[in-house]
Amino acid sequence: MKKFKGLLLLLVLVMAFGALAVAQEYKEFTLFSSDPLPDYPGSTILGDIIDEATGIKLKREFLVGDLETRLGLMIASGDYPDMMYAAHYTQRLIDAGAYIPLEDLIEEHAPNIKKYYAKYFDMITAPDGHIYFLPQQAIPFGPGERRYPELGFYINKRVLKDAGWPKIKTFDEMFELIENYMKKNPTYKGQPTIGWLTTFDSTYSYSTTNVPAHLAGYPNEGGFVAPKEGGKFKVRPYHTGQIEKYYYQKLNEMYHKGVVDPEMFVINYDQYIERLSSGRVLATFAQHWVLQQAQDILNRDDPDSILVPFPIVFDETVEEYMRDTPYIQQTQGMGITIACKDPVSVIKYWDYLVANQMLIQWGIEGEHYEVDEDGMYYRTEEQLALFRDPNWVRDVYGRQYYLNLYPSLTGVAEDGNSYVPDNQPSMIYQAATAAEKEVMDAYGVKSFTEFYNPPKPWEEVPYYPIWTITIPTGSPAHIEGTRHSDMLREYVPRLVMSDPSEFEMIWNEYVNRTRPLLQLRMEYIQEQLEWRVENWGPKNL
Amino acid sequence: MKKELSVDTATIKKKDTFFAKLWEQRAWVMMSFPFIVYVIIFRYLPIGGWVLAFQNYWPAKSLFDQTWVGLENFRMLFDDPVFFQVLRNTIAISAIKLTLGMFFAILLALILNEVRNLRFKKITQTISYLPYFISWVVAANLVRDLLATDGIINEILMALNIVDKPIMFLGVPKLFWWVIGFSHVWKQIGWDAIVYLAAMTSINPNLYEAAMIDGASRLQRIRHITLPALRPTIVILLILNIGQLMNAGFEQVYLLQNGRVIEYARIFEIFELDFGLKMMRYSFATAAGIFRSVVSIILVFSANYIAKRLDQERLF
Amino acid sequence: MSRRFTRRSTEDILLDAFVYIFLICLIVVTLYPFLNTVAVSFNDGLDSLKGGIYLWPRKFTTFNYRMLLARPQIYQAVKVTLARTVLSTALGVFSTAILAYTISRREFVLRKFISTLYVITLYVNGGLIPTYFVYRYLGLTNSFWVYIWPAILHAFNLIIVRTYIEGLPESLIESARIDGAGEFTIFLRIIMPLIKPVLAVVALFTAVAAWNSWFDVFVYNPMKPELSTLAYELQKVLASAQQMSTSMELAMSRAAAGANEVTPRAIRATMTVIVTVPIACIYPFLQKYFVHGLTLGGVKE
Repeated sequence: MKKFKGLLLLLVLVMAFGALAVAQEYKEFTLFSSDPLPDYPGSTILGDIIDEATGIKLKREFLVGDLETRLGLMIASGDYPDMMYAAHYTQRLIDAGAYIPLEDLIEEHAPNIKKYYAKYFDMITAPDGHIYFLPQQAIPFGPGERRYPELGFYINKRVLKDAGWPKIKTFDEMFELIENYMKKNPTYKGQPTIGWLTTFDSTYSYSTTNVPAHLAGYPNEGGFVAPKEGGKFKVRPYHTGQIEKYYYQKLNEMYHKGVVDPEMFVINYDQYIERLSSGRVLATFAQHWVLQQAQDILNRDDPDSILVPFPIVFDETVEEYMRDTPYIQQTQGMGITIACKDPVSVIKYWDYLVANQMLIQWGIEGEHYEVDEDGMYYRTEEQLALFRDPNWVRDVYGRQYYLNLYPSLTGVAEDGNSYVPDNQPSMIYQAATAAEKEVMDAYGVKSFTEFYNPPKPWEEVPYYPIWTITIPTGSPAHIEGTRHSDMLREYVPRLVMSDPSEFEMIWNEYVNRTRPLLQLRMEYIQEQLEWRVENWGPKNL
Repeated sequence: MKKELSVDTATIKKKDTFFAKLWEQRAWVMMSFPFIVYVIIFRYLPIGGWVLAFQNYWPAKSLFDQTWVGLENFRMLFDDPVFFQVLRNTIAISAIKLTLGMFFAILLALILNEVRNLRFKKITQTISYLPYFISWVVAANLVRDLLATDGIINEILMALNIVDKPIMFLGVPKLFWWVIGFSHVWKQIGWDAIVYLAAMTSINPNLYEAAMIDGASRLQRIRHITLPALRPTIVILLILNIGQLMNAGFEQVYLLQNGRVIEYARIFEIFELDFGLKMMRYSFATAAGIFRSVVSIILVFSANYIAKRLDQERLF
Repeated sequence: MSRRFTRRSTEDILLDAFVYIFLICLIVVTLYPFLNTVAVSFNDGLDSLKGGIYLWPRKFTTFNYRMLLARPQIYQAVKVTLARTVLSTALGVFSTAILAYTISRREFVLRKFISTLYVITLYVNGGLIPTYFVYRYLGLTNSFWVYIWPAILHAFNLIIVRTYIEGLPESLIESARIDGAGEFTIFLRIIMPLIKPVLAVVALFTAVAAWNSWFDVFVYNPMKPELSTLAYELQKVLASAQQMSTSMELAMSRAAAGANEVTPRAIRATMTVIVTVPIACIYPFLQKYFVHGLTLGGVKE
């Protein structure tokens, strides 16, 4: 027993000294983030500058395991960190009384937040008149060009090159192309070629199930769409619709031809990325951020197999609007919890982050970017090479630890520079990799977004997007939603993998069981959408 | 037993009441008392949380300011469209695990008992324990790799021409229960066999010799000597495990399931998580937990009672 | 006679064949995944993606290990895991033994009460949230002790130790009692040495559970990185295998070297080896006790 006591004492001492060393100079705050980042490396280029300037160090908890479970526990117990970001479940924290109101703090202590957010305050003000969080996704300033669209049907570069760089428009065309290529190239680097693979991992399964909405030309709305009927937006389900039937029937056909990865429904997200990174997947659908990792790896290790996005639709008659209308995250963001003893320091810390967006996103002048005679920022080839290595950006530079979850800005700053380096007009083409340039040159475009129609302006869709409408937790509509996702998890694999002769039967069963599970949410969303149109409609983003 | 009692009663003087005995046995009482307190604090105090099931618990309020809803949560539980599916899956999975687990553990113990090469026996036994040492988190990954379409099991089946294209073991709903059952066997067989091997060591070797002289074959000796000697152990394990019928093993099922097999994979623990904790329906989750506990207790006491009636070993 | 002899020997041969085939199958399905995992952990990550790694690495590298072991969190987690495993095993073994001894005494008036009290806990629990509140009230949340106290007594362990003690010859205890030894002395001097085999089993049960548990870290200590355990670090790695953190130096040297890359599969395999090897190592030390240690019986009065 003596030994254990000694060991334990040692442990306690080590921990106590550790805590002391930190406490001497810096104020410490705790942070929870639902981004499953690896633990903070302890020191990064950005982190060191920010710690020094603010006198604040953070103790970060990044999500391990399931977010809803973690939140369920945290809310039930009331043990919160000082600041907290919980993605799509922000409303739960507000409902549970976890967040403190921020408006007075901002007014008194955060001149920069006040300045940049001024236009959007009423969009993030809760019905009770308080502001509980600052949106996670950047506040949009100006148009903001991008190299990649937000989402797309991605086709492997080898396939496009082989076919002489065709512009693919419809789902049928795409599969014809893939099938032809597969016949000629059944394997790639010794492994079987995979024609079509999307992820069905529970967290990302919308990359598989939302496809019918996009085939119908809609942008990323979520589980419902809102076409205009008689001058009014009407919330409509696309699940159980004709295009969804077409989609699954097509996948079913392709599955039996061996084009669809037979393990599509069994593998998890990691394996999905692994397969994409191997270069043997010919086509997929995803949000860009879902497959970004794979694209980075391909760009570095297998540039012939990078994935090129296209706005593919059901048939020629569909006009696509797949790009996002710039919006702010009305329902997600970081807040200060009731557990925080010094909210003033936290809001000042955020204010510093907002004021120093150029530092966080571009880095240090002369080291990470240069300025030309017109005052425009750009990066040299060596600087670009640094920022192309995702591991360097995260572990050495530290961008992920200071950007995505905090209040941040996008679009164009007052001096004409883009906040996001990749979107700097001069860099969209210039900073692309050789492989990306090859594709762009072949198609005669300067960015992949040129394949797409420009997004609808805000005036035309002043509610956008539907998916940020949060269904009240635990309500009948919420339960209905969970049952619906179960239904999708059960039927989608069956629809795709069933014997073609049984498809009709399974489809009818699916329709009959799903239809009753759409009503409550549709009503709720309609109500919320009308509220948004009424309150935000005149606003010009 | 009579004898032990008489030794003890010799020290007891006059009163034979409960408290007098308690005083007499104060050494034992003092030794066990901390652990009575322990079990009450750590295991029984939380059961007080069952009141949640009769409320509509909302975290921001104290336990006494909650709305009381009576049996509403239980009604919702039994009316839930997937309740019977969940019940069926839970019981089916645990019953399969129980039967396969026991059958193979006994089989392994009998087989090891028949191995004459002691070195080989020891090596096999040691290897068979290996999966016991890892958590399901790790084991699930190994099982996934084993059963993948390009995994070793499919490669063996293909090499032996038993199947002509790989079977997607984890993707076939009807196979899911058996995947769980056999992966349970894989993880536990070596360890579970120990109990039976231990019981076998207590068999008097003279019995085997006598049987051999009578001309009994090896199989007959197994049937008439070894198996009966295992009966008490089997009975106790059965009673213990029958109470576990409502616990199908959360981690294992959760980690091996996927969207394709949801109809067969949703067991109570997963249901309570998805439709309870994750939705902040704490009261609903508690009601489901109570239902599970009550059924378990009924099962274990009935099993114990039946064992008693059949004059078998029993738990308490 | 001769006919009978041949019949017995065919049966013998068939039986032996069955025995060896069964055991060899068992060895293959048990050992293969582990050896394969070790092979993958020593193989170049990108190369592993091509498949076809069985028992031996194709492109040998220790890079995966260097990557993982470069994380300072691992070392803190090793310390905590060792402390929790050793402490909860020691406390667990001792507590189980002492309580099992008292309830193995047939004349003890609280025997049935205590047994039932513990057996019920196998089947009934208050659920996660109420348990959390009780632990928080006891000051166990955000604390190392939440790894120790809740884990020390398990009803199943209690039953096997009780069974074992009941199997000991009563005369040993009686003679000590006649010599005037107190109950606690009897327990320490006579019972403890005799029940070593079953305590080895309990020790292993407890140690394996302590070593592998991550859920209590997730529930009670997620905001205390200094109290993380190896199993929890494994969870983190599995949750964000794509997003492996590295130290600054390693990331830089890797960027310079260019070729190497960690992949989720390689990282999973490596972390699995790191977590599994130490606990599997304690097994040989306890093995000799097992076969006699684990007897399970009930009461039959």
